[in-house]
Amino acid sequence: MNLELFGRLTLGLTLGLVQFVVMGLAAWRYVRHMRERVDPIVLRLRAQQREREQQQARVPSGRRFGAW
Amino acid sequence: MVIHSAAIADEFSLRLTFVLFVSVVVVTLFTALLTAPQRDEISEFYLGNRDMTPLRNGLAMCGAYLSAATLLGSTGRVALNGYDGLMYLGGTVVAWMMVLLVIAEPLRNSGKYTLGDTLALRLPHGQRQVRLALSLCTLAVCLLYLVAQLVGSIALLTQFIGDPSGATRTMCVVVIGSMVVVYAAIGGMPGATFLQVVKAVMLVAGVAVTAVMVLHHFSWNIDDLLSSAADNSALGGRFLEPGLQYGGTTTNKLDFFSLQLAIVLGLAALPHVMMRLLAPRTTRVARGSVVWAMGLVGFVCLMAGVLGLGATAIVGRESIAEVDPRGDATVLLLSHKLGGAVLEALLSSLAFITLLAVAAGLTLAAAASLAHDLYGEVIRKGKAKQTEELGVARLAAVVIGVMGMMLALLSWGSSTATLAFLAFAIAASAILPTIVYSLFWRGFTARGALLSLYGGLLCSVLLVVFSPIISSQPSSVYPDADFAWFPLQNPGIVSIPAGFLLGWLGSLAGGRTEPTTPDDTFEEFEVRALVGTDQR
Repeated sequence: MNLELFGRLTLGLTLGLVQFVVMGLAAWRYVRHMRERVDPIVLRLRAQQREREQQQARVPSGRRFGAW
Repeated sequence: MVIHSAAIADEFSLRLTFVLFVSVVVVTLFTALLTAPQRDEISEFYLGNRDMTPLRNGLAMCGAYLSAATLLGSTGRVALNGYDGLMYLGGTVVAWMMVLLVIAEPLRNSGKYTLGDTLALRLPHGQRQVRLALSLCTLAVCLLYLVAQLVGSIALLTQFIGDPSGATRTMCVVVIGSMVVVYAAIGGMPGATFLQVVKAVMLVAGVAVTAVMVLHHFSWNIDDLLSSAADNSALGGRFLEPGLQYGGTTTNKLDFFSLQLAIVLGLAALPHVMMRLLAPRTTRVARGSVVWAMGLVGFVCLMAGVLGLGATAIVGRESIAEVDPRGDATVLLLSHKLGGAVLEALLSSLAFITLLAVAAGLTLAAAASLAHDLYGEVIRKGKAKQTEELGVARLAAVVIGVMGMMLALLSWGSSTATLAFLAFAIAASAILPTIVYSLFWRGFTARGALLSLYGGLLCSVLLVVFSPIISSQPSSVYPDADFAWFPLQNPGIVSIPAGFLLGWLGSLAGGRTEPTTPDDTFEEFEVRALVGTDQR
């Protein structure tokens, strides 16, 4: 931890700074991942659920299953 | 417990601080009155404007989170303890990462007004007892944190007029406390939001300007800053090495770990931060605002590190410790040296406004929990009208404010940072297990929730009572008594695992006897938490 890398900047201090950078990168990756991979699926599922609810609302509850 | 610090500000700086503080308070108070909820709707009072942009909500989140303990306490720790102080600042960003990755989105999707609503959706059986337990825990955390802010206002006043007399102390707490009550009770969430946004902008700007001045003083040479800090600390190289505050014994090291655990895990369970998470209407805005808040908080923490090091380099460690052994005066001393009375007045009025904004958010969160969970759902069993609940919420804000003021006057000598970190530890051990289990564990039952809420609260409070904070040390509340068998200052390392364990055991034990939650309740909850079916 006390190894001096550049002048007075020790390994411990550098690791502390690297932590901030890593957090920033992680947040950026997370936001990108959610926007590209997860959000489209969520939007589709939401639309599906809305459709199902509307269909259920359209058919009167007495005749919901089958026409026999 | 005596505060040894003497007055460090001159007459001009004191007047300027007063003028600045009063003008910001007047502007924000009028805005709070103008934007106050007009239509007696609880959603407006609890959540405010739900169509805010990610930047504005993130600013408000940052304003709700960064307290005077960060601005004054952390910089002081950096200035006095060097490397060990800097390590405090790193934990904060990790805490926001936790919120972003784990809690924020499912909580927003499944929540309504308070955390109690999420739990009621997840655990429909016995939701009344769970709400009761949850509002007790929320009240405990909020009150403790509120007391920390009010105690901080006394400590700040001490920097100006020296040791305050009893009457001055009471006046300071009563004035600040009543402002907080007005913001929370009349302004509701819109008022608190405006105050928090203003404060966050001022804080980021003020800290940035001062840090730029420090860096300019060393002609933008970080190495120069570090070596002058090490030289002026009278400790040489040891200042930049671990172990100044938390070195030596294992107890010390464990204490540091315990504190970091509370900082990292506590944030996700702080009621006033959680309220901000529930405010946005869409998941995307909630995510964006957490990212903004994280960036802003990270920036302020980095700059606080620069300020602390700069204070040691420019003012000198010994003269800082001479004025205030806890280091709370560091920023003010530094600004006096760098920018004279004007900068000092700017930063000290900033500190007062910081106190005010955090305290207003806390009072509001506690009032919402009391009115919505305790009154609306437990006492009136969901039959209360909106106007009625709103009246109770305003009344609760007043009651909480008064309780906070009285407790602050009783414990005025304790350290702001200690009280604040205790609130974090209690939040992490009592409230966090319930949130995590209810969002992610199918087998969680109401009994587990009750056990982890009450157990975590009790465990952390008892450990604090038997810790060196209360007895056995010159700096504790009862220095003459000695019943401190728990050696650590911070209970987190024991009480957080205890809270999780109790929740797990309670759910397992009750699983066979009580009617198990039907599977579709969890499935419905999970769909809602992941998809967010309430949004278009």
